[in-house]
Amino acid sequence: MPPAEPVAAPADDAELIVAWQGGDEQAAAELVRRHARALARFLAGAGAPEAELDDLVQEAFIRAFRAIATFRGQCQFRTWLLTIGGNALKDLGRRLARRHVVPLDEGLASRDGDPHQRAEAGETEERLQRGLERLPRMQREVFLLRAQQGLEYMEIAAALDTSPGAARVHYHHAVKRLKEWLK
Amino acid sequence: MTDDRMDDARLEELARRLGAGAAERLDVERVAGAVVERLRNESKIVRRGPSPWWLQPKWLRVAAAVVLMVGVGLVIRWRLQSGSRQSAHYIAEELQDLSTSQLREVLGTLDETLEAASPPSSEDDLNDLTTEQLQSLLRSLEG
Repeated sequence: MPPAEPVAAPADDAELIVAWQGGDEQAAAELVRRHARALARFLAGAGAPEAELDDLVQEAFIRAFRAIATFRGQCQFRTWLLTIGGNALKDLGRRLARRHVVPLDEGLASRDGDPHQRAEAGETEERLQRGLERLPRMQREVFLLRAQQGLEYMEIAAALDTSPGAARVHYHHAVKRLKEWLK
Repeated sequence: MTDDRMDDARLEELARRLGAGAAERLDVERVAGAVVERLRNESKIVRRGPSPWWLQPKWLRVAAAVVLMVGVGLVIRWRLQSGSRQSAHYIAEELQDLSTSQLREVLGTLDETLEAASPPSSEDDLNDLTTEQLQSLLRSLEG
């Protein structure tokens, strides 16, 4: 039986980044394919209105590719991308607040929302979403990175430029407050 | 939620579901295409190269500062020159009107001032000078 032809292993993120820096557009497209949904989930969890989600995901990727030379592999590409997405979401919140579309408060998500989206979300999920919007940004992001994305404190700390101990404290504060609100 | 208590595992499970619907509805291929297109457009702009050095904001600011400084310098110089020219003109006109004795008096005052400011030197007698010599001396003192 002839030996099977070696199957090319899918390139890891670091290889794709190097390929993109060398001018390979398909490498950039592949990075988007790999991480766009996780990023969208993170942004939606952090309160991004669904109507803005597409633009926000694009913006986060564009910012990441522009700043790719500053990415030193201190954390995974996805974690780094999520923090960039968090910044893009914060900027969007400021823009919307200036236009008085939503309150200046961190209430980025439309409370009325898409009826389809509302119907889909269970009552508890909706309450959790509202609770997350009331948390300080650091607690919210640490909670989402840990609970939603399943990241380790070390990884979260590297991405958010803090210590693992501080990340753990933020997480526990977030959990405590969310539990109180969800009672 | 009917249960008043919520354990960590349940909270994490809820968090994992958060935004899942919105993420599923995201058209990833469309986003990938749009991102690549935007990156391509940006790289075209970069490839077009930066504007000439003299059109860069930094150099335009330097040029503006230089123009401002030269302008201020020219104004100050013009005002100083016109001021000294005018005073010299007025003094020359007034000298014409003075008599010999008045000129001696003015020079005498000046002499006293100079003597007070500097040690006495060989004394020239002003009384020996003619009107023209006195006027010439005064003009030379004006510079």
